[in-house]
Amino acid sequence: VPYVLLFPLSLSLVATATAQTPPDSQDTRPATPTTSGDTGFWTVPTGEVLPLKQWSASLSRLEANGGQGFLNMSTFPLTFAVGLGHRTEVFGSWHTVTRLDRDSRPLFFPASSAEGTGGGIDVDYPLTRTTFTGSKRGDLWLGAKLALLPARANRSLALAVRPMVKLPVGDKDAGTSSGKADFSTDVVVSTEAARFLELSGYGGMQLRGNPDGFALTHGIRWGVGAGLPSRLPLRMTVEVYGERYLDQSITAPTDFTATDGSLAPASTRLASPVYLNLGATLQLPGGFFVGVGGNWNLTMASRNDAGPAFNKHTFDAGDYLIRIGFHPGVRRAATSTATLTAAPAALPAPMPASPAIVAATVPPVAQSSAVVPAPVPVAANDGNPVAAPAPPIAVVMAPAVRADVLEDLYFDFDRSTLTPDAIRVLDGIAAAMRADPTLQLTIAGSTDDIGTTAYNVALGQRRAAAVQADLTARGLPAARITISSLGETAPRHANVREETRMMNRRVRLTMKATRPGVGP
Amino acid sequence: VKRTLILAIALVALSSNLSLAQAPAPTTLGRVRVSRAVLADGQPLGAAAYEVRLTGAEPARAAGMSLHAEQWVEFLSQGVVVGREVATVISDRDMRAIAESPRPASNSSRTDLLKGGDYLRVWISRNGTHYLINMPLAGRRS
Repeated sequence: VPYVLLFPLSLSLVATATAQTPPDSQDTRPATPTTSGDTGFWTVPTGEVLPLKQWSASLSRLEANGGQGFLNMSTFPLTFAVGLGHRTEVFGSWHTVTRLDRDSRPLFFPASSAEGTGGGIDVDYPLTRTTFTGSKRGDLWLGAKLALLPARANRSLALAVRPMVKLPVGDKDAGTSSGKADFSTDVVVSTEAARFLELSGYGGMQLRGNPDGFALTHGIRWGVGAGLPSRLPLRMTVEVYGERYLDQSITAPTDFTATDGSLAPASTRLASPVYLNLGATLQLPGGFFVGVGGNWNLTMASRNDAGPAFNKHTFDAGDYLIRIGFHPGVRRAATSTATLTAAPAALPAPMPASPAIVAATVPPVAQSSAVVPAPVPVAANDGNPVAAPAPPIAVVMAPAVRADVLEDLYFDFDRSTLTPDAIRVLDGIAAAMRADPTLQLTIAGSTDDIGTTAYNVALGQRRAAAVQADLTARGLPAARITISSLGETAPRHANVREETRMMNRRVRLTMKATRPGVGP
Repeated sequence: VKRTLILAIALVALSSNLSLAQAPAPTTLGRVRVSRAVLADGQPLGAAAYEVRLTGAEPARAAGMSLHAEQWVEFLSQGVVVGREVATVISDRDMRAIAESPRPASNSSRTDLLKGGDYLRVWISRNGTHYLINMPLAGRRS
């Protein structure tokens, strides 16, 4: 009954997630917590972490099968995680209910097969010695994941380390806990390819504590996973993961006896497990998700391999998974396509002309597409020459027949770097320019009025040049892009308040079509 | 007893989530002395010592701006809010890359006059983050 109650409780829990201020949806893509609690697929983590002060939660029902005693392991992990800083998340997973169902009769017996399926003890639940434990309290895992690579524009690669510790709070008497702490550390690497496929892999060590009289084994954990489509509400996941035991044999005390009186074998030969998870997760835009899936123990031999007294069972190694929860998403690399918005040039010009404008443009001189590299001096309106960071390329272009002023692109204070948000806007512009080779783009950089006039001219130039550099890096010819700096001379908003002053840190983008009927 | 324990822990988790979902409480950044009368968010703010606190609120962000790069702060005098302005928030790492003048020591602040006296900047360094509050002097030409 308690675990049934946990589902409506978890529904209430994830419903509160909507009260959490989500990160800007334009900066995130969907993500889920693993059953360990950190960001990832179902079991395989990804190298990403929760944004600062954002949190995730989930409740799952996991079913898995092990060869020793034909053991069915049912757990209900309740997970929680929170982002700390910009590179760290801490997380926990409490196996609120653990149910172990041992099918072999007798419960313990010496295995006749070489390894894998038999009548020995289970490496994760070595104290289990009943037919069915019922619903008992499970262990609590706590961990942290530290992203080793800072989030950067145009980089989807993520790398992280993930240490975890198991606190043995489970019911030792029932066998749902070993009563000893375990430790693990993993290295996780993941990436998103083509805005469609998320790939991840991890590897690390698991160290197991030995209950009194037992000798268990440590192991090398590993796993790979894929999720697709990575940015749509319905995602499919495929995971293969397992553990390579360092010792293939584990031992129990010589007098360890099951409830039916059978004696545990002195040594249990293990097969290093390999699991396959297939899952489907439906996630709403707000982050709430539900998922179903299947789990197969690929290395679990058939029951009849354990001895002639046992019959083969169909689907003995397979079981199901369900989950429900909330995750606000992870920051995505700036590779998505943005909506390109344009305002007709016929609208009142938002930027007043100024005689002090320092321009790097060259007027059209001929009906030609020839490119004329031209170093263009930049001079401030106070008469002091300022070196532009990179000489713009002057373009000889055909007269424009139509011009569209696009959405302004804004910058942080005193910065000329492009954020992922900005690069998404440029995705749309680049796509439009690739689609129509006649389109020309002019970029005019502006600043607020903090700092000297000369400094602001140079800053405006750097901003325009940064946009140009991003577009040329995508293969667009520099000859199609003209840049200039307006410095602080063309404020669109009052500089007296920061709330409006920040809107003057921008570039104005104007797309010109050189033949009728085309344009963004 | 076990059922009660499970339900209790689930409720604790629920309530902790609710508390996390609440708006962040104001954070005190420190006490600063504004040496000249200025305009804070366009409103006069006299020369005096003020307690500055972070409200957790952020102004609307435009395309291209970083997340959490600007936040509202309040100026308090004797516990009463007497002014507010948007502070530019810059990590210490980024500040190292862009600052031309020496940064204030950690968990301290200073004020500077900028651009020939057009602006007064309150620069607060707290816990590895820099908060720049640029306010035009009262009476300057806008």
